[in-house]
Amino acid sequence: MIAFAGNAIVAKAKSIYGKRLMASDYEAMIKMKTVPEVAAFLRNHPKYAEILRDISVDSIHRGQLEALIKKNAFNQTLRLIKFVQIKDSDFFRLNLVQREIDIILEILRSMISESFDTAISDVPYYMKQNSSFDLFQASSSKSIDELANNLQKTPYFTVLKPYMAVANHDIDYVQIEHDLELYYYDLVFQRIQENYHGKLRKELETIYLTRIELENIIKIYRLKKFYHADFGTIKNTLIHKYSRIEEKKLDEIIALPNPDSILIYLDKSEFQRFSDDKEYIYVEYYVEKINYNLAKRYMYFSGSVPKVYTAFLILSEIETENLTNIIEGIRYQLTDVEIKKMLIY
Amino acid sequence: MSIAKTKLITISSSLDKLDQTLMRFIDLEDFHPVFSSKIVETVHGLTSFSPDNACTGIISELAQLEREFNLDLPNLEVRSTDYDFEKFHQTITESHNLLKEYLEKIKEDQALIAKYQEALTQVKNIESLDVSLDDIFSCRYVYARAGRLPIDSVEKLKYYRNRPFVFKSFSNDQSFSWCMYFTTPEYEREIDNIFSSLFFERIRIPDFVHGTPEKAEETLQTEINRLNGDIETKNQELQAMTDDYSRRLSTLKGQLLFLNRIFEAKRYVVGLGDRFTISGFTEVANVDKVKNQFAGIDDLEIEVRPPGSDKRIMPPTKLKNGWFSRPFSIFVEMYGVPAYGGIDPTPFFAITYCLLFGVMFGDLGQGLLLALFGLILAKWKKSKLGEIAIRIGLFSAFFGLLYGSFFGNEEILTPFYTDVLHMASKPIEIMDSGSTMTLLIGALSIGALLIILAIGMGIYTNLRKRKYIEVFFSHNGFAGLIFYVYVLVALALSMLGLGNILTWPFLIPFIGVPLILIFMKEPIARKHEGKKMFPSGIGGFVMEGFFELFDVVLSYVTNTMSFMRVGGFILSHAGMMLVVTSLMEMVGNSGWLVGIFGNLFVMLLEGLIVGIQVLRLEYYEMFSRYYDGNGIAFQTIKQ
Repeated sequence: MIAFAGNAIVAKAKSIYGKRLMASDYEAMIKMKTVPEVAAFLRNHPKYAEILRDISVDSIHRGQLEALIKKNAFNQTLRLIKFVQIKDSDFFRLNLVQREIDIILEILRSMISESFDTAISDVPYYMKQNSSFDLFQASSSKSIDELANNLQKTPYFTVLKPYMAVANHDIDYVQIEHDLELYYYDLVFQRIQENYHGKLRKELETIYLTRIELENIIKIYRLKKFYHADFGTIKNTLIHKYSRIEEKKLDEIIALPNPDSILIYLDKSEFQRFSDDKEYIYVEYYVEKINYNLAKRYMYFSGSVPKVYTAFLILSEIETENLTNIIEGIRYQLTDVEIKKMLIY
Repeated sequence: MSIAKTKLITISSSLDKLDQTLMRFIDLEDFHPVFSSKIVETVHGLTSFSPDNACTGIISELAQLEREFNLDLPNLEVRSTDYDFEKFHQTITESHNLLKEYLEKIKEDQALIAKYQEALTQVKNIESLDVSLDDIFSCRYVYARAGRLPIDSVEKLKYYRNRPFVFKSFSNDQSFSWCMYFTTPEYEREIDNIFSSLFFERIRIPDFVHGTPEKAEETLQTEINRLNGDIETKNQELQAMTDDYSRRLSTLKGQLLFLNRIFEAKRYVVGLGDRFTISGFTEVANVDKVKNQFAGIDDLEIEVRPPGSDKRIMPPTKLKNGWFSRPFSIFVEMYGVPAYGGIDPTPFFAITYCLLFGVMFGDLGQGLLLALFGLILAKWKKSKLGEIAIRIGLFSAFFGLLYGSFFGNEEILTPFYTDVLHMASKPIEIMDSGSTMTLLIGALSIGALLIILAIGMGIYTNLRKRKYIEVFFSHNGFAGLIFYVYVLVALALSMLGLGNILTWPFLIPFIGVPLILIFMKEPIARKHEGKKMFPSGIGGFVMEGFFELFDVVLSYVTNTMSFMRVGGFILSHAGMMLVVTSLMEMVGNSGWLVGIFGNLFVMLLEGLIVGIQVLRLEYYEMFSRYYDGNGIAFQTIKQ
């Protein structure tokens, strides 16, 4: 029965993965000029057809489209979790932690910009059955203290505690985001260690280490390119604890004067390719884009439930992030070359 | 069964006859023209006539118009040299704009319908409201908005429960709640903001709609019907317009197609002062036809010369094969066309391909079925692969008969041999484990024979080309042949116990001498060309030559062993069909179904694999010994 449930997860994950957005889909979307065009494209794509079926393409709001894309990813993950056995279920529920962190950050952003309506409209109410805190209460918080109190019974309280008692515009968002992410990754590695051993543990850890590396790189690019952030700010946002790229090199990348030269730097560095002992390439940095193969490899070849599930989760997150980057890139009229640099596929 | 003999033809005349000449030139059926660039580059003072083809741009404009409005313009040429490209362009642009303008009007109506359709869905969803819409929307102190709100957002309204608005949901579908909200003019902006942040989509009810939702539904439906009627009329008018334009534009297209060919043909024209020439090749038998094509043009000269007379131009090769080997030319051309004056390997290829395929895929039933498929494909699709399938299918059937194999059943034909022909058993018993070795040795013998034939053909080709060093010293020449045949004979004699010829009196002339000749081939060739025999020293040569010789000897072994697959496939075919027959027995009543699909599966899978494997044997084990394929194919202007 257990093996059967495991097979169900693998089969389901692979079948959903089969409907993913391909490189050609991304190439087509980055050339589009308006959000409705992207919405219409996605509505015709098998993976998003169902969730976008009733939208009116011409008048859809960017936020609504992004919310529906996230909802789709969440629903698909829920469908997989249904089959999980009790033994290592806490590992499988890591995705919920990630989503909760997203919600907390969203609420904080709306506090800083004093646009509380945004927090309310963006809260994924469909998660209320699965969330560890009351979404309604949390999203109606008007200050960080109120939010922390509403999260008192959750581990997030400890993370937020040092940053309390400040006015909304003084909230140290960058540092809180970093601390929440670090909390998440600590939890990830802790749960991997608790539940798995040997080669499987190592492989699961590699999936996350690669993910962290890619996140760091994209973060440096975004902060430099669109927020013109200084060296210190960028350095503080990165996850150093689990970085494969050593501190000195990371500093060199942050210090590069031109954000466009980051990928040029990586393209020429020893990190250009990250491959395993069998020469299977996991990540490739090119000047115009990043290729990510590790999770794809497990989706194609692995039959191990935790590996396929983790790979699925990460690919699903990457796809959602890619779409968000495309939609926002189009909204803020970035060129297709600029958008492409933020995509991972 | 050879390469067609051709002649080099040069057509020349004065420039004022160029258009007249080209009009006839483009109709030449069997003429391989030579690009002017090949000649112009080599002689000073010559000019080429390949200006930018002005037709291309206009033709693509017209093609776009055809696609957009579904015009079905015929591809019939109109022969006229009286043209004005500017006028062509203008006519197409004007037609395009007019049609587009009309289409825009239809699109506007369609957009209006989409809007009314939305309003109709809205009023349908608030049907339960028993109040006139006029009354609601004309209120002075209460403002109303109708529209739809995502289901997820409905619950979020409780955040705003202390704000001054009234929300009423009338019906829900999977994603949206169809609703209205009401507020006062004072709070209009704030409440609109709240709803907009929750992704409320407002649907405006058109001004002409009055009364209760039920009444409004009727009005909207009538308006939609009216617009649909309008669109239909406009579509008919557009159709009439496109028909009219089709008529006008088809002549223009015909003219353009013709002019395009004339322009394309100019790539073959070479100019010298006030005269021009066009060169090309045609079969000897067609020379008069070419001359007749230009009859009546004054001042036009046609010079006929042997094909190799102009060293700048390599004569093309036109393969002429009999009915049996003709379709196999696609495989030969895939490897490379033989050079003019060389030998055409197609007949040898055709026979060996059919034989090997038949041996490897021997099954009477499947072979006949394959031939039938081939026949259908050849007649219906005019496919050369279909014609090949007929031939290999028949060979497969013949060998299937010898093996006594019919759709995988290895016993069904046995009575034919024992009762009708009164033989002890089938001629070849594949399933008998005792015959496995015989089959494999047989396969190797076929391979050895084919390699000997290939070396023989290589010697013949090189003799014709007068490459005597290759003829005598190469491993594909006499030296190699003597060595290979001797080893084979010695092995055969010792296996049959007929004697041992692996003794010094034989070893020296049949192994030693040929190997020394092969070893010395390169230095002798260099000596023959008047160069130094050992440019990099004798030590280096010996070292290099030794390894090359080792490679040559090894290649004889590997090439021969390569034919082992012939025997392997005979066994694998029987094995696969055994699985199908066993499955048929296992499933009981529906066995016939498994039989049909099993046979089709084996036919497709194995047929394809055997086809490819034989091609591999042909290319690697045989072509590499006697065939270069460095010629150029004969291509007429129409190809």
